[in-house]
Amino acid sequence: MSTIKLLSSDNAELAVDKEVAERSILIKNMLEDVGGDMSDQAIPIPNVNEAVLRKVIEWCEHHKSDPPPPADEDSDSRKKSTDIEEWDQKFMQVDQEMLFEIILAANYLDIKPLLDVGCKTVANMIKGKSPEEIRKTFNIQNDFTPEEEDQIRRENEWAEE
Amino acid sequence: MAAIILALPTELQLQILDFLPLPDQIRAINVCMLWRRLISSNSFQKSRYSLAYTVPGVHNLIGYETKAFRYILNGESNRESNFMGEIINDCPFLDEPFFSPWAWKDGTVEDYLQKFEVYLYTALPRMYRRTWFGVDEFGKDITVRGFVETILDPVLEALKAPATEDSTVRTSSDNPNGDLVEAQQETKLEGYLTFFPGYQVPVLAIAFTRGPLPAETQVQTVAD
Repeated sequence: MSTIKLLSSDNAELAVDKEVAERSILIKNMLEDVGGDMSDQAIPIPNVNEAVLRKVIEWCEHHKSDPPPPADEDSDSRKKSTDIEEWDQKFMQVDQEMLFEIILAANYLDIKPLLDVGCKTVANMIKGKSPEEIRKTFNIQNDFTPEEEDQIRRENEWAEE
Repeated sequence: MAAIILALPTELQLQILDFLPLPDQIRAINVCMLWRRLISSNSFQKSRYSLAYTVPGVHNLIGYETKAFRYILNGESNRESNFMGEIINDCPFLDEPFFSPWAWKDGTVEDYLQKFEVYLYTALPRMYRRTWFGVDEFGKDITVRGFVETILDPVLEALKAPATEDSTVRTSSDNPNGDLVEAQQETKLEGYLTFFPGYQVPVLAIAFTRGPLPAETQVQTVAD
């Protein structure tokens, strides 16, 4: 099995099985463009640092034999379940900074299933919470004007228990 | 420390918010301005209409996903109620079109939503029933709020007016007792709008709880 090298933004060189790295559509297309021969040269991944890149590779290794996601995004995935398989749940037990770094990296590297897992993880952190609890969770400033605040309070006073 | 989540590209924030079920989206619009704008945006609206496998083209506020929401026409909410739906009186979603603007093209809405059965339940106990003709009666552009108010309006009228056999709102035959005149003094109007999937004809149920009703509030809220 052939191995390729990836170069993180902080100049760490990571060796990865080609098959694993090709979970990233960006890398896959890149390799196709250069004719597959990247054995002597590291592929620069300028947007992703070593810690995040290692994490992403770990995910790709575990999921290397997954079937490709269905091409028609609009059909089944529209059910929008936020279920996450157990291994992925454990994998995503990281601090928020890392979680969002993984989401950004998955988006940049074009790894749709990982991006979905990341977004679902965040969605699950929002689910069932009040607006105030959500703000607290993500350190979001309440930036509504007093008038808007007033309206929101009116909307919500019915919902208070 | 600033919120990292808000620093994500908006398209990624949209993807995250898109995974939320409707009740959570309703709460999320009250988190901050950015999310309010994102969730209320036109492009995001599209995901709030039910799809072919449920009842196509109806806003999810009344569709399969939430099953129900409570739209309080006036008075205080009855907190002892065991009603499970979301309570929404003022939310940007209410001003979105009731029928999906995207569903017109393939005709799914027109085929399916020619007819509604609307059951109006009261705590009296008494049941009103009326059949509504979907698109023809409401118009393609009706909002969710407009739809709810159109449905509840005749009930408000009936409760205000002296008891007669009203042509719009009829008492069901299995309630020989119960007097509408007495009801108007005591009934607080609080619509529980529930959509029951799985019927051949979509059915909406509206329940009313009992309680004191200030007459002025009633008129005001209807005018709103």
